[in-house]
Amino acid sequence: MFKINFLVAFVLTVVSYVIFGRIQYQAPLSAMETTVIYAFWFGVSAFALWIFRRHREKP
Amino acid sequence: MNIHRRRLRRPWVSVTAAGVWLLAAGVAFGPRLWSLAVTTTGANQPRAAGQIFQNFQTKQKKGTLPDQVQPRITGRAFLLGDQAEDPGYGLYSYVLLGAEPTTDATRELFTAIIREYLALPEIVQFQGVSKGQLNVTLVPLNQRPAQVEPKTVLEAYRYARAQKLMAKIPNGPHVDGPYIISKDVPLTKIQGQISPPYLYQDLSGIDPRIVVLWVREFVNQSSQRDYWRKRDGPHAALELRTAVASLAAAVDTTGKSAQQWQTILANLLAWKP
Repeated sequence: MFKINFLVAFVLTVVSYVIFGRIQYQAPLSAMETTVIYAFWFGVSAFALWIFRRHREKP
Repeated sequence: MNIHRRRLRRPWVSVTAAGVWLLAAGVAFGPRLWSLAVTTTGANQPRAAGQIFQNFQTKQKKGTLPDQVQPRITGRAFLLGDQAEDPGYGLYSYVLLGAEPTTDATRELFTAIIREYLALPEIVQFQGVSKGQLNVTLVPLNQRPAQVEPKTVLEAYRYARAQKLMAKIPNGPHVDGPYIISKDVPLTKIQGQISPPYLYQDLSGIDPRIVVLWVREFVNQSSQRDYWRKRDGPHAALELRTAVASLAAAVDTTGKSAQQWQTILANLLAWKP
């Protein structure tokens, strides 16, 4: 289960980096800022997966 | 049950991955494809850039014609001593600092804003451009420094005059800064507090690394005819970025603190009396 979260968070972080890099190219995201965004997306994906599984497990 | 769960999980993963990669592709290549389509179909042929701007403005203000077709150009000038602002400019902007920096963090932030300010072209360079089309960005100084550098400009900054100007901004007190204020008349000529519309940016406490983004947004916003109106999308992205930068700084410091604690605990555990 956690593998999926890591993967989804990684992809979403890359997308976020690209978006910020395009609209705010004067100051790209630093490594620490990218870490914060990764943590955010990991939390979101874990929560989404938990909701999804809980919904599916209900009869 | 496990097999059933796996089967259920697969479509979710596939759909999410496909959506995310489509989004990434759209962000990465969308603008280029759009410009290619416009160029290929000749959709931009009959209209010049100024006309597009004019149409955009007309759409925004229904029933009114724009009185200014070209976007405003931002330049800089020093406001020396008690000298009054030169009349006739389309917009007067001020970079105001609350008080002399006493900490490293404040000095770094103020130096960053002055550095970005000095990156703007001097207003005297825009010869041949109507004054009404110019946004003059002013910094109050005691005297003109011999060498124009962020450090020397910060040393010559006239905080008392900046505070007098800041007192005219509603919803005070404004004691931190930097603040960027824009108004279509000189602030010095205004008695009492200024009334809307005006542009106001509060850069207090932001990460010095992203000051460049705030100044860029100021230049963009002040180039609009309705300079007081925030551009929703870019402004939201800027606010989000400011929050992320603050969180990153907090994580960085907390991480260093945790490392120190690890070292202290390790020393304590290894200690033998």
